[in-house]
Amino acid sequence: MRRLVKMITRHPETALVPYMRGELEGAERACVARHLEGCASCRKAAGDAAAALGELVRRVEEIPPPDAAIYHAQLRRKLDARCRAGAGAVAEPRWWRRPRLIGLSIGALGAAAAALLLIFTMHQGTRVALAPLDQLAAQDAAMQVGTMQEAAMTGADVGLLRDYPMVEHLDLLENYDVIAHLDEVSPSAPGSDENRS
Amino acid sequence: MEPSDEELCRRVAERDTEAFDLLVERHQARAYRLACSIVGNEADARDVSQEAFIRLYESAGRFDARSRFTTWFHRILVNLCIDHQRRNRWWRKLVPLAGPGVAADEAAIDPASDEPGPESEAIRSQSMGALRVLLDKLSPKQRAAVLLQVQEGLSSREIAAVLECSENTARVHVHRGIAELKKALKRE
Repeated sequence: MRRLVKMITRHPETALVPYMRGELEGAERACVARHLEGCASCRKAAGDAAAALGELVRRVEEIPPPDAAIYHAQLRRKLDARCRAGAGAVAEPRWWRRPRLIGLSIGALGAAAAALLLIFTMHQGTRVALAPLDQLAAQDAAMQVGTMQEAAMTGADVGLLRDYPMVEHLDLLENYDVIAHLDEVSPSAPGSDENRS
Repeated sequence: MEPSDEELCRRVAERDTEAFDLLVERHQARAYRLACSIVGNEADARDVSQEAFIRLYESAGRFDARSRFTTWFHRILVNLCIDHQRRNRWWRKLVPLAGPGVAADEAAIDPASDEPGPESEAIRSQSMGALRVLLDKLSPKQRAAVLLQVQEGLSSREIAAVLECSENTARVHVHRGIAELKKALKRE
């Protein structure tokens, strides 16, 4: 239908030869016929096309056919050669149809997966093993500075932060007098508890 | 009563060489001319059309009897011609792809004694030259479409089946091919 609408508005160039050859039917045929009645350029185009095709046929028919006996003999030889080659060599199936290659492919895939898993596990293990060392190093650093607050701020012991009342008491460390005279405070001294509280 | 092409093809699938010979006898001249028109060279046309018959012999079992034999065979032949044209683009001719071994094999298959004599060769060259001038600017598909129409009498629908395209596309190939033919005739 869309083609018919186009034909009414445009020249039915591609339908001219099928029309002349009697291929078109029904509405399409009537539409082209109607167009040709009123369009001199399409009538000329149809005539020119017929002349060009006639000339082509004439030139194709000028080509002498091959000698049938020679042609046939050559063909038989080629066919025999192909059959012999075909009988000698079994056609190689596609790689996905070869059981050996499928096995090898699956094995290679399995090995690759195992290697990846191993690398991943080793990587995780390294991280797990390193974590306590990191914590210890951070704690050591905090202890060297001598402030529990700093130790908490480094996040070396996250458990402390979770224990909120404990963290609250860290405010006491802001008592700089105590910190300034920390070396004078003996852990076993009876006044030490008083100082701290 | 003569057996139909379809019946002969069924027998070829059962490796009936007599049926194959009969099919070759029926279609060789037209197949050769069609190949000549598309590839524009007699020697190549002979090779390509013979290859089409070999493919027919090899794959006759896959012929679907619901379609016409000629449509199926033309599809094999035209595809081979188009592939040949693609393989032999001008820049590939600069560097020959086939090594000496391949040439030797071909020589063994096609002995020189089978070649036509100089006189028939001259007639052939002249005819081919005239045809080549006319078809020079057409693409392989346009050549195939136009020739299937005028030489084999195929309808646009059948051409579409051979070229594996829509009927509209087949009509466009024919239309553009004819436009090029007209230009070539004007140039002469």
